[in-house]
Amino acid sequence: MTATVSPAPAQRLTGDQWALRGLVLTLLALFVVFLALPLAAMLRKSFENRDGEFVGFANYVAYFATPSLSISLWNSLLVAAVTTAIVLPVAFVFAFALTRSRMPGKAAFRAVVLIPVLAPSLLPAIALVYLFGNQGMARWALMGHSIYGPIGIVIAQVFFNLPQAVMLMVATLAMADQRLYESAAALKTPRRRVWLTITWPEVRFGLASCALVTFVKVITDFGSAIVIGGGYNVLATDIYKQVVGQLDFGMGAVIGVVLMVPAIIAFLGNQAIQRRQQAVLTARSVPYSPPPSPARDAWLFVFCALVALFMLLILGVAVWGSFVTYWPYNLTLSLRNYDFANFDPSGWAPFVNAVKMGLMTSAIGTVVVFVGAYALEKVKGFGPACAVTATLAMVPLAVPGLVLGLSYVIFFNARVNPLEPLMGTLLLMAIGTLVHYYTVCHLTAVTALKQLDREFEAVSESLKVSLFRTFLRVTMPICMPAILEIAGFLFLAAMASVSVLIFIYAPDTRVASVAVVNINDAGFTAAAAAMATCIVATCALFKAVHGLVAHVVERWSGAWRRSGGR
Amino acid sequence: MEHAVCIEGVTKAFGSFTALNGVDLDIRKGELICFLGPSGCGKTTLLRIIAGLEQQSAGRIVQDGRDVSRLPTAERDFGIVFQSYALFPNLTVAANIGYGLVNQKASNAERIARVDELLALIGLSGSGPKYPAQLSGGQQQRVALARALATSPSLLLLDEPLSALDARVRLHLRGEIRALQRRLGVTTILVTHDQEEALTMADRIVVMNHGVIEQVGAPEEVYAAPRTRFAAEFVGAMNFLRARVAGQGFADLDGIRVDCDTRGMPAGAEADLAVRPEDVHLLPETPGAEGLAGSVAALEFLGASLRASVQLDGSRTARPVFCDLSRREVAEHRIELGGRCRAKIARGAAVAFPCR
Repeated sequence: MTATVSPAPAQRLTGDQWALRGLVLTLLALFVVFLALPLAAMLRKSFENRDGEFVGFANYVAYFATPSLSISLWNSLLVAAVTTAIVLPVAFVFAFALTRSRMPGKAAFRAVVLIPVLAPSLLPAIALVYLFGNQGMARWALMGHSIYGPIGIVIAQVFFNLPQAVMLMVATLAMADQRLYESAAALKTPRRRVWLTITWPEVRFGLASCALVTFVKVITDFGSAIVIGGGYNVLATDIYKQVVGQLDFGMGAVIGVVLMVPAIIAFLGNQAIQRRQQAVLTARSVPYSPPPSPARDAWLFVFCALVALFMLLILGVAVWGSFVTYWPYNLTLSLRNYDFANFDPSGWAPFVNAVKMGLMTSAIGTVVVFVGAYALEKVKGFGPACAVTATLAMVPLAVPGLVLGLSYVIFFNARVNPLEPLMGTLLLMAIGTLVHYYTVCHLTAVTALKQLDREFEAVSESLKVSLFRTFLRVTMPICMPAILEIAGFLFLAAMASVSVLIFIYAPDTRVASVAVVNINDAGFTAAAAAMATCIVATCALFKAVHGLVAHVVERWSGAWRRSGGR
Repeated sequence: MEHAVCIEGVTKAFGSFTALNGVDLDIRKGELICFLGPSGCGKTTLLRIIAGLEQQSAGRIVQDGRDVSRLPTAERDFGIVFQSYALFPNLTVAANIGYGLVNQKASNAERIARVDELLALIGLSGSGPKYPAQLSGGQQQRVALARALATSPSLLLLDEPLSALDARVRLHLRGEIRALQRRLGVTTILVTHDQEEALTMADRIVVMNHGVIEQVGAPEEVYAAPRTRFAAEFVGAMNFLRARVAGQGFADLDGIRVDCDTRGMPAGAEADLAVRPEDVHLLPETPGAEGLAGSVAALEFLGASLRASVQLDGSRTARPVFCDLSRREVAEHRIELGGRCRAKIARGAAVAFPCR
């Protein structure tokens, strides 16, 4: 009987809905231009010879037939596996101490383990040169082995990857329901069985996810290997050498594609894990509160103290080294290494560029990410376009920064590209950084938006108030903490990131993190340490200011949040 | 009488699932009409279609003589209160209530006066500067109501407005909402799964199940003369007693003649007699007593009354029969657990439905 009824005509769209559709399409267009097309261009390049002629799989055949190149693949996998094997247990125990013990000084430990977030990945490598390099102060500790090579890369990577791993594990371990542990105790369950039946199911997905993320970050990171890799070739440095050294974009593209394989596998693996992982915590869960156990706390404290000492030592050596006038002959402290004009013709310009680029990334990125996520969440009946855009927003997670940078050179440098003037500008560098970190920010925004009542828009429509007004008066103020978090994250990421930018800067737009690589390449380790220290100091300062701003904003507009309860 | 809303052949399909199947309904001006049904019956979908928040697959909605089927939510005329209230947590109570007034060409002073008037209407004068989180659930509910009424819409939509509240607050607010609705005379649609709420508040009840309307009528009508078995079962408590239609207007229940509405079923047809527990009278087992013999299997204390479960002797109805008694009756007739008794069905209280 329903079949005989003609379908109802579609509802007319309001101006608001047209605007949201426009925003979704704009975001889609941006993704196509700044993500999909460059990657496609790189893929195409991998099938072309130096003259741009199509040669099929010849480049790939050449790559795997050249032992000096293909050995890098195994080197990369080995270094990544060893680093992951160290980072995973350390991060787990550290996070366990932070979430499930009564150990003192948790806040301080948490702060210390996050230090590397403020630093470029080159910093630990430089510190290692001071400690164990050819003139290092603790060279004896390596018992004849060289720090230049896998040992150095692994130590630097452990330092650099620990914060993210610890945060992932903290997020996992914090999701414990006290009631489960109390029920187990009431049923007189032995400790081993509690671990096997409650704790392990809670943490296994988090552990797997953490392992994948760490593994891929090591494979795709460029900063540590370029400084301390020595003659030990890995994929990330190979791309750099092929492209910057030999201008062989075809071979560079091949390595780029090879580099994407583990990243894509990890990405898909993570998606599968997230699908299987169900919400462990419900609104009615009782947060876990660890029972007192002085012995456990003492052991964990010693462990955390050792890890923290390692972090502080690496940072401290790099900072101290930057002030030493002339290592190892003149140990008086001075600002000589900060006079960058002595080591590099651009002087302080890269630092200024970095701050400019960071602010641009943060400003443009916060607006695009939040407005984009809002449009995707609130647009009605725009299924296919939304699905494609939302998928593209997840893709950057599977694209290493180095690969993104390489694809930008290939795409934007092409003379036929009308966007060619963008090449080498701070704007394109900011866009590249934004695209690289897009997914994390997008998910932060989506999570914040999903916490809002779904009916806010319905209510404002019924009251004839435009979506735009509700966005400004309600959505944005409520999401302010997430918005500030995105803005802060993007600035720090832009300041410290090297891999996206190493291919796309122009001489006058070189940024501080790239300058660290160049200065170090030129043999001025101390000046490189000084530039890296500048980045850390700026990030720390930014973080302090950011905290202050967040506090003021909260006082000014967050009165309702504090009014909770009755 | 002119209708406030006419729903004509509205169908809604979500993929292969049919949420609404050819629903027709006319809503009168100024009435409080209740969409009542279990979850998944399509009542909320129908409300959302009237609001334009959901698009029907077929059929049309006419409001005040105007076909609004194609109009977006913003161009329809209604106020709405959601189950979650959807109050803006970062705005004060006054700003929430005045949220829709900003668009109207009213001066600041007029707006403030209107908000004050509404605050007084819901009995929250002085709470204007508070934030929603500082109010109790019932107060938040009233603020949401005031916000929906602020722009004086001709239609008020309430989507399970009381289900998030404590039982005691719910009882109190039922009366308040009803009084407010009467005073303002605003046509109101209330969606609920709570039959008691529907019976106490509505002018008319629309009983829905599986995407179709089972019955529309005044509460007394739906309660006393359910049109379908589902309506009989869902609204209030109901006994179904196995019987056989014996003629026009009476049936044979375990050998006893019971007058009932046979709904045109032929003599000899198997039927279930629907009888409310309060229409089953329990009498003591005395020599020569009338009614169905049985024993009291359970006696449940409900406060003002008691509910007895009576297992009938040799009956075709396997399940015990519920009967509601006052405490006085229990004492008078010596009804006690395990005791013998006779159950009598009140004259004209039974309705026959075909057996399932």
